[in-house]
Amino acid sequence: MFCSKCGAQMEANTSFCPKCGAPNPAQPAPLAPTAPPVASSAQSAVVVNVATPVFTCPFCHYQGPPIIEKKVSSNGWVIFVLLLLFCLPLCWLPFVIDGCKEETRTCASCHTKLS
Amino acid sequence: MRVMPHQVKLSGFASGGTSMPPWAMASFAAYLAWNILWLASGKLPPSMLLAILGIPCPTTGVTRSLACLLHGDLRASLMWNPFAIPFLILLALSFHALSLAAVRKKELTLPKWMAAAWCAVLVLAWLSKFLLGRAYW
Repeated sequence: MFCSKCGAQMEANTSFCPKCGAPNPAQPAPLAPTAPPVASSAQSAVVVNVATPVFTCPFCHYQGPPIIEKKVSSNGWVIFVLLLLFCLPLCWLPFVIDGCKEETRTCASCHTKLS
Repeated sequence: MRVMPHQVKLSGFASGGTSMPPWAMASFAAYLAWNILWLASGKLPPSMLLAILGIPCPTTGVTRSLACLLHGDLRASLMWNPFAIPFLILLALSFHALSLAAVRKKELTLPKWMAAAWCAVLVLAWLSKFLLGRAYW
């Protein structure tokens, strides 16, 4: 079957589209795991619910969703500095453009960096 | 493949993280020093790109362009920076999109089409600055 939102191919028994995370209307949404991910950083954080494949941590064998943190990538910082030095009014752009960010995944249980 | 809802942690300014690398901090400090030195000598700091490499930046002339527009001189406004109005429109749209995302507690990210529009406008504005000549830098 295909996702009604993005058109990506998905299995009939999945609850969410693996590509865009849209719920599968034919399947009830599964419950979240019992151990919720905890933000380890002292920085202010916004938590957003999205969908991702269930994984098993190779270190602590925790089964559940990882914590995905989005940060400005190295390329994003280069663009920020270039804009800061040469086009100041637009130096904020790398902070709000997805292409200038990278995702880091950490285990919600043992906080080991996964990727 | 079975999928489950999970949490994405978005930290720092505009969800972009605040862990600025040292070289970026050094550049920021250099930028501040540049401006402070000029202001201390009683002059307005010039554009670094223009002062160091002798070329304008894409937003050079936007202020003068808007000033001309306010005085009703459309031709002069277009000559100073023909993309001043597109810049303002994109700025307003970006502010609107980011405000909505902040109110809804979503990730502060511009839609892809808006990011592409920013890139296109920046490139076109930069090209137009070269085409219009040094008189309007």
